[in-house]
Amino acid sequence: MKLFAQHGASEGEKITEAINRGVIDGVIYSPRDVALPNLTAKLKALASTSRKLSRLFDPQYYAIFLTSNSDARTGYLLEDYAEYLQPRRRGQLEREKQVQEDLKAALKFQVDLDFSGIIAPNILIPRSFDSVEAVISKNFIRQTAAQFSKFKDKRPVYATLAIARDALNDKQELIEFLNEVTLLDEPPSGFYVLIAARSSEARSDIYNADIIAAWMLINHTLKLNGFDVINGYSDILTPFLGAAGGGAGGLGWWTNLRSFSLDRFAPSPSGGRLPIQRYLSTRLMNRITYYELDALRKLVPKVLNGLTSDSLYDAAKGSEPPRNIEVIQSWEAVGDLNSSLVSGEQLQDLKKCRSAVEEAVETYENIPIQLDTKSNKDHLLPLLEGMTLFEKLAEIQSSSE
Amino acid sequence: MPFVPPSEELIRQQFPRIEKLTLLDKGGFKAVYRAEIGKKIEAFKLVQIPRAESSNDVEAFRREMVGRVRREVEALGKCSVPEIVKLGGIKATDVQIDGFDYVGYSEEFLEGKDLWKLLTSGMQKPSEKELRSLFVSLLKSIKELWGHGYVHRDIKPLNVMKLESKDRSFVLLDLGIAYSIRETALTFNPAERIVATYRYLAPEMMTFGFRESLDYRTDLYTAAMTVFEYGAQQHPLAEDRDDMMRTISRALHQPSKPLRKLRPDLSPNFCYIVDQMLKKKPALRPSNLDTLISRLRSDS
Repeated sequence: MKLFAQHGASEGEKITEAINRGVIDGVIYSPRDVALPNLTAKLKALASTSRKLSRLFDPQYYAIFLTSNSDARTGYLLEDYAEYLQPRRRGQLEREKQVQEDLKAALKFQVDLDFSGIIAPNILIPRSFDSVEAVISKNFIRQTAAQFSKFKDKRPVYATLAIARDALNDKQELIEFLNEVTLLDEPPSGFYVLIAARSSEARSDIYNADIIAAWMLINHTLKLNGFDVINGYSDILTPFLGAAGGGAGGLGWWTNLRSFSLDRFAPSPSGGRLPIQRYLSTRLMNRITYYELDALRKLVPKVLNGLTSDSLYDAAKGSEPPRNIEVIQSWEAVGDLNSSLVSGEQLQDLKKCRSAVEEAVETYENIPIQLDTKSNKDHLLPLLEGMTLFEKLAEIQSSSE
Repeated sequence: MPFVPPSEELIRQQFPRIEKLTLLDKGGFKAVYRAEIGKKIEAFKLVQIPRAESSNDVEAFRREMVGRVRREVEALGKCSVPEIVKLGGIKATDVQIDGFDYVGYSEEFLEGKDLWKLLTSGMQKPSEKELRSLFVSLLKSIKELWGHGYVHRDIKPLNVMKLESKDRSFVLLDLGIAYSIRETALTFNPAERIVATYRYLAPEMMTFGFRESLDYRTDLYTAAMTVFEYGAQQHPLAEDRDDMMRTISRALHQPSKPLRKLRPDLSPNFCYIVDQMLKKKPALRPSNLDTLISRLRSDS
């Protein structure tokens, strides 16, 4: 399973360092956070490093309804990427012709650049699959391959499927939606799947059994029907989605690059403190603060991954890593989880994922100190329940048997 | 009143091109004959149409039956793959015999046995090669039908003929209840009637308003059932003692038996494809027909 850097603001040397260390398989660029000339230069540099690295571009069209708000944090989107992104109202996108034109523009923009695959634009399905937005979204999905075929380009094209977590609560609607998108007259090569939390800080929005099960079901169903699935902002869920059938996941360096939410684009009171550096423990399947790591490394040594990037958390310096490359550790840890849990044999992979969560539960039980609220084990039960629910929805043998 | 076909002589009066007729089989409203037409042997089908004047329901049923015969003939006329039975020399013709209305038409005559006959005759379990060939034939038929906007809806062992020819091993018959996604539905009073054979009903066919979203994955389910039953000599869900409601309940709620449990000699890959097609949710049945056909041909 592939792991991509989910690009964002303040990239610095993070991606270069990750490539040098071989901990990522490519990059999904964020136009909001990079000026067009810089993007072109970065693409060229990435392609010259290795053609094997995936070079993808998330057109971030789902932010379109926010662009009419002058306070929206759209970064470079409206100026440098006006070729395909202009403010639109929902009513305009109810017209098929507008959808076709916007698709064509966003695809053309990417076709002209050296990306390894093309991600089509789409809007977010905000609350329910029984909504105007869902109809518009299906229209974008249906038209993706047809519009792309006009360019006679051989690269894979991915339809974007961006769904708010609230829309995933009604499983029957989700299943009907999947019934429709898995039977397209002109199917794309794959899907770029985004599940939106109400806020990137809301951990329980995504670490919820229903949401995990639904996200896994989307991966499983799309894969069964021959589509490649790239999950954006999938963070630690990446191997679980891989066990369900996903082909790739993405995560970046800020909290808002590890969980997808439109609040990244919405007007916001600025300020706030820099987050405390964290260490992603594969054993805990969670990030703990560097000072928690410092306290635990002798008490519960299993929390250490034993990977190269552990050296960034030097015990002699109180385990505090350099802030600008903290993400290297995350990428290496998620990559390690991917390698150890995802082999392509679904039942075995699901069993391995379940065992890994059970081991995490055990390890947490041996931790003698009080952990920060984000470091605790609240994510584990939803993971186990989510897997069980997924297996039921996917009509597959339970991995707990 | 049970359907009694008219005498062969009366039929031949209405269809003078037929030189000789031999009754092969008959159902509720239909009789099938071996017919000599010129120098060719064809299968002649005679469908009785209910009288028009009896009641509104009968009138609706009459319209449905006429529509179904027309649709079957039209669909067969559009299909050109050898895996689907071809039309014969007699086009669908309305006739009146002894005061009853009929439609008669012919199809090619296929020398062979249907899979149901083979299953009930105590045959040896077929090899994986044969099962793959059967599955590929059914998938090719489904692809052809869907290309013209049709869902067969009645794929079952009785509607598949096994021929002796190496180039044409299995042929799908009977598009009598085929559904067209491009035309008005024919079934009258659809809320109260199940049109297909209940032992071979895909779960989605039992949901209210299924016609709105019906697609070829319904046929994938019944094709897999047919392959399963032919291979394992056991229905994947139904038990012989079950009544209709019990069978339908199993189709809706009970997972199918894994094929490999009954045929451990078959490869896991092949069993996986069959089992996956028997999932309750259409989206969980792999829908890329070309990929499926090439997988079935290549991993053997």
